[in-house]
Amino acid sequence: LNRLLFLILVWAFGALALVAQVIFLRQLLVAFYGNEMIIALVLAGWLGGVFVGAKLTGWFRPERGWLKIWLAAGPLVWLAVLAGLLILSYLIPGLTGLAPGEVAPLHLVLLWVLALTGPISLFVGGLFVLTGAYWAEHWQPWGFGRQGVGGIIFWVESAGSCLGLLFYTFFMAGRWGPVQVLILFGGLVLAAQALALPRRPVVKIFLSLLILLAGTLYHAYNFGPRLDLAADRVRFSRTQPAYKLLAVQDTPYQHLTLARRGGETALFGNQVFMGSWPNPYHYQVLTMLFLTQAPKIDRVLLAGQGPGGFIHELLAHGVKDLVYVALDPAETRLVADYLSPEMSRDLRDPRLHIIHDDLRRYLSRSGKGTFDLIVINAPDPDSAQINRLYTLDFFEEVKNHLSWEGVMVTSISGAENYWSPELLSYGHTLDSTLRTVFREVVFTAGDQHYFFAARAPGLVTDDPGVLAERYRDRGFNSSYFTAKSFLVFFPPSNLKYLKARLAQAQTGRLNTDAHPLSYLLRLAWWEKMTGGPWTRFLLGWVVRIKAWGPWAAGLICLPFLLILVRPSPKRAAVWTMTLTGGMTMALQVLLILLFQNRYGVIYQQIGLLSALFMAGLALGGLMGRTMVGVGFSPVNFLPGLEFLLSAAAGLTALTVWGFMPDLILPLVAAAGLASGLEFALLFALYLEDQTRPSVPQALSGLEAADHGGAMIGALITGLVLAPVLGLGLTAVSLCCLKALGGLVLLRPVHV
Amino acid sequence: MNRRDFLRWAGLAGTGLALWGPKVWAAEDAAPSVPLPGPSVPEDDQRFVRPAMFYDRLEGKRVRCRLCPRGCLVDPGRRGYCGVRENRGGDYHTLVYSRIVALNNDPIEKKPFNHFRPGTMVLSAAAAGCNVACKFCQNWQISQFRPEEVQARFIPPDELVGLAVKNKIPNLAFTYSEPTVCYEYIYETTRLGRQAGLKCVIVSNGFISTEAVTKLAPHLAAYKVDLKAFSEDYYREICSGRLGPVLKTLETLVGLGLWVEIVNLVLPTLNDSEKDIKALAQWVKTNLGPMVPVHFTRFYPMYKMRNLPPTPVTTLEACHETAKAEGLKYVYIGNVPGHPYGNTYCHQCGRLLIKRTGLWSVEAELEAGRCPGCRTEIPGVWS
Repeated sequence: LNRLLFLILVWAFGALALVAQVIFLRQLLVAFYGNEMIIALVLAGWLGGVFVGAKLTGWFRPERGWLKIWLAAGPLVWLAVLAGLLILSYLIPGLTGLAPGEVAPLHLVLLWVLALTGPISLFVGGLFVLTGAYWAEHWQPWGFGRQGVGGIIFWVESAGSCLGLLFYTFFMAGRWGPVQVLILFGGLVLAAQALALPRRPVVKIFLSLLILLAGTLYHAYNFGPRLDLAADRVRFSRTQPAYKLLAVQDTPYQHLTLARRGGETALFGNQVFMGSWPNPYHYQVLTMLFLTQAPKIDRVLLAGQGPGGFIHELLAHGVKDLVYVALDPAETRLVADYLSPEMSRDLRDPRLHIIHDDLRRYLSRSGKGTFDLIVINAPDPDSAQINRLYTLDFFEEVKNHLSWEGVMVTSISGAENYWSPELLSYGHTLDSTLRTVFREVVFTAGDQHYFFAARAPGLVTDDPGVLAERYRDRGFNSSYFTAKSFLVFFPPSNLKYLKARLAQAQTGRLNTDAHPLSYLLRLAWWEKMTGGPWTRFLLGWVVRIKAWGPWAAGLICLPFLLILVRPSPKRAAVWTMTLTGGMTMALQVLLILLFQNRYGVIYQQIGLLSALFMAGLALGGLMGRTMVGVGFSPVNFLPGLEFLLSAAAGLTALTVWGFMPDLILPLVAAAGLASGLEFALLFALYLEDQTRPSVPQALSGLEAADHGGAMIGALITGLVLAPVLGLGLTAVSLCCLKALGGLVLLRPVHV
Repeated sequence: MNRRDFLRWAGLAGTGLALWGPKVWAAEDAAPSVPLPGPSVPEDDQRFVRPAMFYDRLEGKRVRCRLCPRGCLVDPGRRGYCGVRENRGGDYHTLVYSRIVALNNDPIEKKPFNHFRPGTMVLSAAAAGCNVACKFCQNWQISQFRPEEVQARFIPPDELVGLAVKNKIPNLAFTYSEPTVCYEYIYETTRLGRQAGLKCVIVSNGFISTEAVTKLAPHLAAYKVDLKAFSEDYYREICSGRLGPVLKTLETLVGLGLWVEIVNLVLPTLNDSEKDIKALAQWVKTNLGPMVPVHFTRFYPMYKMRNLPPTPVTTLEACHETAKAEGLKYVYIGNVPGHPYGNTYCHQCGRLLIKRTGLWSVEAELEAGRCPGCRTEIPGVWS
């Protein structure tokens, strides 16, 4: 076996593993409701699978004969499993027992996450260990001896992941469906295997030609798009069986579906219902409500879900200049093809300016104080990403873009007759945040609460009489809305109840960029709504954790660290790697949140950020292997690395607090670099243990530790630490944790 | 204590300390709300507990509930399906007597009643609990939880009646959650309400035993029943209920001479087939008569059914036309403000009698319950 070809195989495998992770994350988000909790579960499920796979493979202590069989058959079996699970992912809607359109309870989601990601990620963990073992047996000298094995496998696989992610992000996302993407990367692994494994050149050439021929036929007959479309059709027919599928498109941001029933066209993003048209009973009524609150409506900003409803109604009711901001250009294009002729004409109206950009990014780049009305038509903050549209910082930005007599509208879902404690916390946080920024805030009763906020006094009101007078005075006319309709939105009895509830609620924290909170409160309510008896109040407990709780827990757990890290190289390596895995995952989440707040959610940029981390990992692995190879002692360098990671976390805290706003990219790269470097050095340290562990054992121990820690980091950072501590304090906690790790490693390790 | 024990205890203590919090910083609210009078009361307040009606004592201190067709067999210390009735040592008790969780002053059209005192207001009250579990429930926060999980106020029957009288609200409704499960409270309140001159109405799923509804009926003025679909499968899979008993309740109510209106919430895909709508209309006409108003209301994504689109208006119009074609005289579509099918037209001459643009905008032209054009008597309660 040629070592270069072997490394290409490992590289291709790394690329496929990362792309498979992204594809299955997207598939699960389409199958279930894609909120922060589901994202955390899927990520943690994947990382947990790698952890178990690596651990199990280490326990089996693979022998030489087995290694060959594994390397020959493993990727093939893995590809078969991958294909089977991809098919299964399209069939989920019919297998869950849920009604069409029903939201899945958490335990069901967890079950499917494990079923879909478990088998794949187990293989990923196992194959990492096996490739390392094989390398150790055959090419140790080339890899700077036994101690360099960890580094070389790590960097090659990370480089594959990095390039795979970049390729997917920039060339495939939004153009190719999941089937095509996995066929391409699967083909890459097969080609690498065909080149690497057979001994005789004739066989190599024959297999390569075979794969080339298959690829040509596949491309010539356009099999990929056909397969993707067929798979989408099957999935949709199981999700919404009575709707006629009109169009389907994968965009970088979402999986869009358009369907029709009873003369109305419905739009779904990741199978989540987003809107339907024509529906003047909904859009015209709301437009009347919005326009009556604002004294002037010359220049209006509408954010999200405009075509098919709000754009038409706003233009029809006197708006002179309408700016429509939407993130996903593909969504606007797709919807435009299925509008009525009248609504299609609206999109060409000279008064309408369509901007495809992240709303916050657009606001930060556009002129201030110009809009008479800003309508934020965003979904509930189910994730940290959407939470950005409900923070104090965002509302400040919106306020700056309103004219003096301008009004802002935003909304959350709620309840008509009873606000549970969970809903009260959620509503109260938004109300308090808005009141901190705006001079006056009013809101509607009903199942959807519309909040109106103004910087000047006397503009917004919840008095139905005053609104009715305004409505008549301004000559509005609607078949579906009368002057009395304001009583539907501002019924005195319900409003009195809601205001009393809000007034009596304890003063809670505000929802800010640096301390995002609303999405946790929303998820706690969502969980109560959809959860079964055992999962109904998980996040309800998280909501109750005080900010000092994690610190206290950390202090109490300190003896763990002192006892577990110190005594032997093996233990020191495993626990340091666990902490690093968790810490770098947490740091990645924090830095991505920071990046989104500062620069917006542009898919390619976020992909680039993750790729940068992986590039850091690869480079770190390479550097570590070289350092070990030329004789540097890991024990001397590890404390320094720990302090470097600690410093990265500390700088992240400073970035959160606005002292060094442009450090995000260097910090991502530094975190990746230190993490990769540490893996290689810890691998060498592990091998120094007096139990004389083998290479597979060391690889297994560290890969499992890395992913076990990352799993915990993925689970708790977004769902617990960020909302409980805030981004800054979370970064400080990570800084302290790693500084402590460095101090512990400064003490002599018994070899 | 060895090192392993120490680590175990340290871990447990750390986790406990992290989770500990005697007061919730944001989720705590023990304050009174308006218009609910009085402070919220402790979960275990014995004032809410009263002996239940309609049950049989069985061997081994078990009881069999006869309040609704579910007929729960309840062991000592356990509760029925509704979660608000408990077997305490062989005696069955309601836990929601005077335990009010929501109270509002609504227009009667919101219930919806279109032929019952249009344009009047109704004091609407609810306790926690329900005996079915619809996946689209608008009031899931109070209907799908046990009473101790929902914040409540103590409002005894005489106080609730007094509130309506004092605020000059002519009607009293039990609505939002399922009134059947707080039967004992409703029975006493409607009895007092009737004596005080109030018109008491029930907004229910109709999943109640004939025995119980018959006993309650004399105190009531009207009953709105959610006939959720005309399919046992739908009832079983979407609502965890049964169709048969609901139909039986409707027959009983009409037989007792009570004013009844029927609501069918139309969910696209799930219960909107022409076959089902036709069967529903035929059954209503045959068994209840053509004058019973039927409302086909529009579904909006709600509770667990969040990703099912709203009912297309054309589907509702088709339901309306199907029911009219089957001979029903008063068919409405709801949750579609300003739609002409939301108005009342004389079944004889077709004249527009009541124009509705939303719940609060009602313009009636009736003259003593008769059409001003052809003098035909319009069925309903108009006084």
